[in-house]
Amino acid sequence: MLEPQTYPTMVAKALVLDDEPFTAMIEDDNPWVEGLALTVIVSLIAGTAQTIGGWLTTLSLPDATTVENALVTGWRQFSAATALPPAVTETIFTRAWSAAAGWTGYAGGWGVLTPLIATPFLAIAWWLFFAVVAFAAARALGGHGSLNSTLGAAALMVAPQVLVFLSIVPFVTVSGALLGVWGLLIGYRAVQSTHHLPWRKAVLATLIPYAAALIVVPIIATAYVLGFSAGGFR
Amino acid sequence: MNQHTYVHMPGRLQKEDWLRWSNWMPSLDQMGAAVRLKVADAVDPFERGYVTVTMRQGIGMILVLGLLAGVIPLFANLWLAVPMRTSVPLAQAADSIAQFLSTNGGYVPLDIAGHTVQTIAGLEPRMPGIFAAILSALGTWINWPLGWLANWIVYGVLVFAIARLMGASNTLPAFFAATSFTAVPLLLTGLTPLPCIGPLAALAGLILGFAVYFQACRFVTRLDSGRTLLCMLLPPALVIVVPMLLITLAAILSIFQLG
Repeated sequence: MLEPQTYPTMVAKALVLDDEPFTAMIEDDNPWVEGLALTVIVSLIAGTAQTIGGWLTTLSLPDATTVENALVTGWRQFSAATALPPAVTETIFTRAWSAAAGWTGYAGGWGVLTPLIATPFLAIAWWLFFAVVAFAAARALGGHGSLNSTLGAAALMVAPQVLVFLSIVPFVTVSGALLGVWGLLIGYRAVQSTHHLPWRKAVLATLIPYAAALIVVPIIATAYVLGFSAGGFR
Repeated sequence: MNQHTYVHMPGRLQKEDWLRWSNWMPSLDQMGAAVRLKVADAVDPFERGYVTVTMRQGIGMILVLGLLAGVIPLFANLWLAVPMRTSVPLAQAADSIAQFLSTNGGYVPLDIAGHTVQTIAGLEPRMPGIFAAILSALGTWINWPLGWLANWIVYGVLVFAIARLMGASNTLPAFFAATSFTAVPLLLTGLTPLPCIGPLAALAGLILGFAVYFQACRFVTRLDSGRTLLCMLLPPALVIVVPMLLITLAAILSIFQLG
């Protein structure tokens, strides 16, 4: 049975690498469901905070079109003073600006809602990927935990996302390195607790999903670019 | 249950224990001991021979001290951004450019870039300027403890990993709990906006912070001074050396390709 009332305590204790939340997740009657619920709730709140914060940041800055005009004017003067080809560089600048302003939501539109969808989606995708690969690696290294328990314990990796709740205030930036490294530490504790591995093997089993991601992500990105350039997704 | 008892009771903490201030902050005596470089007294005030301060107390201390250190910069940012009726990053950019151009002006491309930045900073924000200034100052203030947390965790993991490879045997929570006392001298870095004494105080804070980190790291890992220093210096050395090696390699390859 889902116990969302325990999530704040579990997240807080996972952040200090306490044993209790990992044991609770492993011994839960349905670890993967509890893990999914925890990941969805935390990442959805984080995504909402980022969306509201992004919207407030946009409001606290001047209008995007006015800023673009000021930049283009400055760029034309700069090109004239430095003998750069103004037409070419201006086209590149305008395209880059419209892409960045659109994607971040600075220029208005739906871009501001990107974190609301992207944050939970990425959190769930990473949780599943990490848990499955770490489970396989841990088993290969002599661990004896189940996939269900690994999924439950690894869901606590979402805990550092509570810091992203602060992004509701404009200009608050939570370091990606902080979230990533803290998540890695919690992932290590999850693997160690689930599979009862010695620390060297637990470190290896934790790092293998990261190494695998370094291979898989560029392959997916290349496939996407090739598909897009071949006329797909249009 | 008294937190100073030798009896360790497993299981869930009571709610009142979880919310108690002392569970989130070490005592002032412990922080004072850290500043006096008596790190053993700070992390093990009851002389039990191991780290009794918790990682939770470390996080609480870093958050509170980070916010305290950011108070003077917060007022400095408000002082800068409120009269300009714009957000803090734009006000800072305009101010920095103005200072830079006053000493390095006369070069046309730089003047154009500076003028453009100042024009953008002078544009009216979409929300009332006063709210933009206050909200953005609040955001940059919150970034202080977040930055400290990031440095503590990311650098700490690297140091701990190297220490483990060198034979240290302590746990991650104990390591982070001990090294969190580095935040106490770093409080001085909050004085940076003050003219003359600010940069000196910040430098003193950084040097003292390094000393506290060294002592905490040595206490918790039980490594000798040389190995402790190596653990602390290897991560920044790798961060500097690896990109330099890659750049050198790329340069050598490009020379051969061009040849």
